[in-house]
Amino acid sequence: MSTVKRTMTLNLTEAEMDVLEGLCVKKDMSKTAVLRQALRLYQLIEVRIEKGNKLYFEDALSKDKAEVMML
Amino acid sequence: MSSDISNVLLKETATGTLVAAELFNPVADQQITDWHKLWRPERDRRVDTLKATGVPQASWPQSSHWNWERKIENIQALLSYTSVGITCNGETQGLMSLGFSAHRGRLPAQLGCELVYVDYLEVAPWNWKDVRFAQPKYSLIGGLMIGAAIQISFEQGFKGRVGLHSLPQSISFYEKCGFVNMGPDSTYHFLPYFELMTNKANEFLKQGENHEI
Amino acid sequence: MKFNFTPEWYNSALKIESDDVTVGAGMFAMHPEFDESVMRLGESIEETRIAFGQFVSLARRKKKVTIEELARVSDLDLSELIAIEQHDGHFIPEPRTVYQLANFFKVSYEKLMEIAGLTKLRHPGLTTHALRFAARSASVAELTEQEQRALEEFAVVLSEQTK
Repeated sequence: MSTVKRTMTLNLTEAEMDVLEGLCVKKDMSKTAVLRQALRLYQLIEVRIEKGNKLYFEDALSKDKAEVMML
Repeated sequence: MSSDISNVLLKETATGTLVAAELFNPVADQQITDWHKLWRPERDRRVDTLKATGVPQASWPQSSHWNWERKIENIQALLSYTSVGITCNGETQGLMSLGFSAHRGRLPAQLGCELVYVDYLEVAPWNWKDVRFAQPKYSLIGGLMIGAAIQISFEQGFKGRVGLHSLPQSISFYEKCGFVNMGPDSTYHFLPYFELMTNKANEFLKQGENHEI
Repeated sequence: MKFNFTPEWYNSALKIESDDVTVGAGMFAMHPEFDESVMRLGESIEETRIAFGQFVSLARRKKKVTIEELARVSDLDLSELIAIEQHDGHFIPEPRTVYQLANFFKVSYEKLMEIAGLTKLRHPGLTTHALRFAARSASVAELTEQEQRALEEFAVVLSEQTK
């Protein structure tokens, strides 16, 4: 993890900002920390999908699977 | 990606003193080379020694070499992972990889919270504590690695929370570090799952105050 | 990032270290040959491991799949699969390999791990079933009727999923 940082200005809608702020409160994390996590997850998903994997949600009780992303 | 290098100390068993060492984050190519060129041959040599003394034979699968390389490739390519290496005397003494995205807190007090997950932590074979072989060359590697994982956790906004699956022989170490032993995990080879909470993370670092960004 | 450890930290850390504990975490750090708490002393690990190799070999042949195809479909190393199917009991498979094979053959991963000698024995009677299976099956090109029956019975035992 290089500590060199580059800066970006982000323009979000009210709704998007509300969601971001809501996540920050819920997770007790800064906006940067939350967006970093989002980016990590996004990359992880992209890499797996490119490999041919599928992303599912599984219902905890019924064990039914629902595909998250249809390609 | 270039590594940040920090100065740390290891305890050298032969002299009983603390000696200078380097901590890399992320791991540098040389450390991966050391795993292949130094760790594996030493491990194999020890297996051969055990065979000669009549301990039941086994062979380390060729594929582990290939899997480890793939693992490292993934770690280097993805933001979801980082790694730490410790060198001393020009040789890699310990390696660790950490994940940020695929694990959440299981302890009730931090259920669902983001944490740093140690998905791999190993010390070089010549540092193993095994009465059948020579004394370890260096110690404190495990402690430094856990300390690094905790500092990374604070840096990322995860408040020092760390999770890991302990090897059977390492259980007492993590308990002493302040981790909670949540018992064998049937979803992960029955290895015991351990988790560290913020207050214990702070205690471990012995610095008294938080490191939140 | 850079890291900082204080002198106080080193003092405490030296007390935590002990002479007989090697620190490690995660499956990639496991070395079953050295780890006696994983190895089952006094139990017939090698014999059940023979059953593991035989099961993989017979079950694969029953599905009319070549080793190469199995390696490709399950994303496994060919040389490791060959070593497993030679079932001399000495070869220790990788946990991930066992996982992929359990999925491919649709049997319980936990039980297959025990048969492969990678985890502690937890299911009573599993070893007995494995040894019986190993005794009844032999390595020939075509599955004999006896082998088929032995395979079917063992597969049922392995398939009963544990929760």
